Amino acid sequence: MERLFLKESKSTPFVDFDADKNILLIKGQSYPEDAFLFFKPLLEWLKEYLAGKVGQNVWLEVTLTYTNTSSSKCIMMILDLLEEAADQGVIVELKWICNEHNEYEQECAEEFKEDYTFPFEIVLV
Amino acid sequence: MIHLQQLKKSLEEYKVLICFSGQFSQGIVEQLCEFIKEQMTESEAAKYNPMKVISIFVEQAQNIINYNLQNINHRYYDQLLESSIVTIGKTLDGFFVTSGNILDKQDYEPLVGKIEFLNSLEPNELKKHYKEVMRRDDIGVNGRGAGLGLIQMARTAKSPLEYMNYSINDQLTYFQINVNC
Repeated sequence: MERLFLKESKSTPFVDFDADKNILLIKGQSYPEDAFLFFKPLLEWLKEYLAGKVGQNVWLEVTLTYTNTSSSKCIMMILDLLEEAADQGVIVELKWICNEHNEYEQECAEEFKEDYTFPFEIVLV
Repeated sequence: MIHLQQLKKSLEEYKVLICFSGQFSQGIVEQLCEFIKEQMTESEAAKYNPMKVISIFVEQAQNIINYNLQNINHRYYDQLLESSIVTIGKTLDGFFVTSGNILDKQDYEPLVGKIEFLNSLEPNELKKHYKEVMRRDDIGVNGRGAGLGLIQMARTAKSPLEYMNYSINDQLTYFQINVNC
């Protein structure tokens, strides 16, 4: 599958979904005017990618300093896809990186973590 | 000529740090976010995490942008567009974010109903409600936000959401919402 690579903008994160290495990165902040428009290609890419990864490892690394509510909803949709994939036998591991001084970021990560059963590690840096 | 000292005095009286009046756009929201971050890390507020202020500001501003987008065929569309204002200022122990814009009167009661409902919830109920709404509303249909902004504001606020309105004419009212954080 083709690598999905998006540069960071003021209101959208850096994205690097590398299908060869099975490493998916999202890094930055997310508060675009229309979050679904931004996340739709990511969701479509993931759906197709995860379908072919049963029995294989997939690593997702997320750093999000700020997300507006509609972006949070899209992040939830991404995590839902991972949960589904994990149920179907994809070996999913998520690392969510937070600034150790930023409680806001940590709370956001903790709150997502509550809803999922796949390995979800919050790393403070 | 504009009496700037008077304007300045009013801003100082209300302890306003940042004020933007006029038509919001995503570009303006982005610039103001950068500005808030700068202001809040270079000032006495440095210790304070600017994320709460930014979060409330972005939800308020994007709510206004979305409201106007839904009213593109409104008779008073131009007035709606120009009516927005946001102020960010100091309170005794934190910050306030207050924004205002013109609403069609038919939208006022439902909005106030939502705010009152959110104000009646305890923090754990708010969290539960937030997660429910996040799961329930289909973003594909309503791509421009899932009605989560107000809930997020209520969750971030350290006191109940405050609001006021001033009637303009039979159809329009000026609405303002204040969030302390």
